Amino acid sequence: MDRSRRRVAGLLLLPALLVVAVVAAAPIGLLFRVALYPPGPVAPLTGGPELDSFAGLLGAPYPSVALRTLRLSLLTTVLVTLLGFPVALFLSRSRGLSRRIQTLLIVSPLLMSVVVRAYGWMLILGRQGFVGETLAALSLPRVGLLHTEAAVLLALTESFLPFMILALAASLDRIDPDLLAAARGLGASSARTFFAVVVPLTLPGFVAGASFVLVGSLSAYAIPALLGGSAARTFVMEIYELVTISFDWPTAAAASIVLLLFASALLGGAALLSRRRSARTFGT
Amino acid sequence: MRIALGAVAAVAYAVLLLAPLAVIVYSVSPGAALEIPPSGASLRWYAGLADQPRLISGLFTSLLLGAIATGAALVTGVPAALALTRGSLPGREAFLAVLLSPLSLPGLVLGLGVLTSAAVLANATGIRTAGTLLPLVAAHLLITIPWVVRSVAASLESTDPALEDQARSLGAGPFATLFLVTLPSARAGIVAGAVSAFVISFGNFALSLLLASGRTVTLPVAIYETVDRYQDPTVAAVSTLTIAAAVGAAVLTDRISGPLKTRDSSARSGQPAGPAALEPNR
Repeated sequence: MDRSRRRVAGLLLLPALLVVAVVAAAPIGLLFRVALYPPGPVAPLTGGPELDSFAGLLGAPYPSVALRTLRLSLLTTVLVTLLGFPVALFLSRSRGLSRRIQTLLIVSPLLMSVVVRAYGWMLILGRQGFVGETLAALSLPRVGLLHTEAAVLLALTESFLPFMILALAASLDRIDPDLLAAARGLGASSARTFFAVVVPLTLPGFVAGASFVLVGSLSAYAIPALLGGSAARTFVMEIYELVTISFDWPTAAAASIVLLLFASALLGGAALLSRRRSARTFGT
Repeated sequence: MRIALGAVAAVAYAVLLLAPLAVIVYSVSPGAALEIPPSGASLRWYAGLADQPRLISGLFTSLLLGAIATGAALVTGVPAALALTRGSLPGREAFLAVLLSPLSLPGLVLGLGVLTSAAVLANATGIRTAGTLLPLVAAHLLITIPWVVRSVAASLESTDPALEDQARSLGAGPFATLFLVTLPSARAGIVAGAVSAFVISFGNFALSLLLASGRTVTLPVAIYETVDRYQDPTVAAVSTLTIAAAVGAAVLTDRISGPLKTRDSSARSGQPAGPAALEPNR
């Protein structure tokens, strides 16, 4: 009975696993192979295998672009955490209709295309946009914030804020109220209770949220391309131009592999961190 | 304290509202240039949509793609969720992690992989998929399955398997039990999963960018290409329609999962069931 049940379960799982194998695993394996061809504009995809395409990533412009991408992602994660934590606290203390409305405000942006939201920021930040026109109407000098790193940072923060709020709120909601009462009963001040009990217990949510925001903002394309343009080129923008403008597929594939490995290392590290953390907390 | 938190929350919610609001305001502006203060309002850009074949074609492509991807994601994802929750499989967590992994892959890189695969397939077998919807359907299926699996699995986990045992002991066959007991009890999860899958496919940009060309250009890609070059309120008009659809979908999932939340386990975890409980990717 149990064995036949397992066999049926395996069969039911097979189609979905096949999709992952054919549409994710195989294409990524193929990218590994393409990266081993000799790189160059309009690369013919013959010869090799060699590691020249990876070596090429060590030269300009890639290191500086990678650094900028990393900096933008880290800053986004910091901003999203600083803004998201108070919001998550407020959300987790809200009940009933207020909570439902807040959830709607947080979830709705996630269901809109990132292109539409980036477009909204273009309309706000452009020289002929809401900010520029308002300044002009007030006879102040027109300032355009479009095509700056600040614009990219602002839009990235806005687009990842909901994820961090939801991740932190999930952790906060899991805190047993008795624990807080016990801390207070043992004489801890409310500030002490907050920093010694509440903050450590939100760490799993923070680790999950932060790793997601980091990887997500490293991989973002629409926001840096529309709001930063040539003033804030990111790693993924380079990959796109390698494919569509210089037709240097080996270098594009190598850059993709580097990004994938880096993202996987980040996510793996986060998973390890939260596992060790929960082992220590619960003594398992 | 609570007032300070409320103030920060108000600022955060205002920031989240700004971008969609800007699009909506621009879509009803009387002229192509943005005016502060606005001199009036007009719906001419909505009427003007009819003269924008690229946006209209993008809209229909995205609707079709979303419908196909959602259907396929249900056909593959619901059985997978059943297997994961009722199959007593060893290594259940690992299988779930594999199925959810596409959500944390960079969309553009995945698109490049699928594009390369399509080229290799064409070279090796002569089957040309370039210019058809097939690469897009495959890619969108990959990122919609996780939403269906998580939503349906969460729903199945909150229902009592004893109900199914009772049905079996009363003489119902395995298929009757599945279609009359198990699936109806996971109805909310299936509907929420389908809504999320469609919305995710409809709005996806990074994955579609390299795969969409000519007639298969999706709406987000068409919007991207237009706003990068022109200032045209018609784009704001079509974007406003998608914003309205997104809010509609959010309200819908709240209506589905809201009543459910008060009695099942998701109330304990405090995570809203439906899209918010999942981790979408960009």
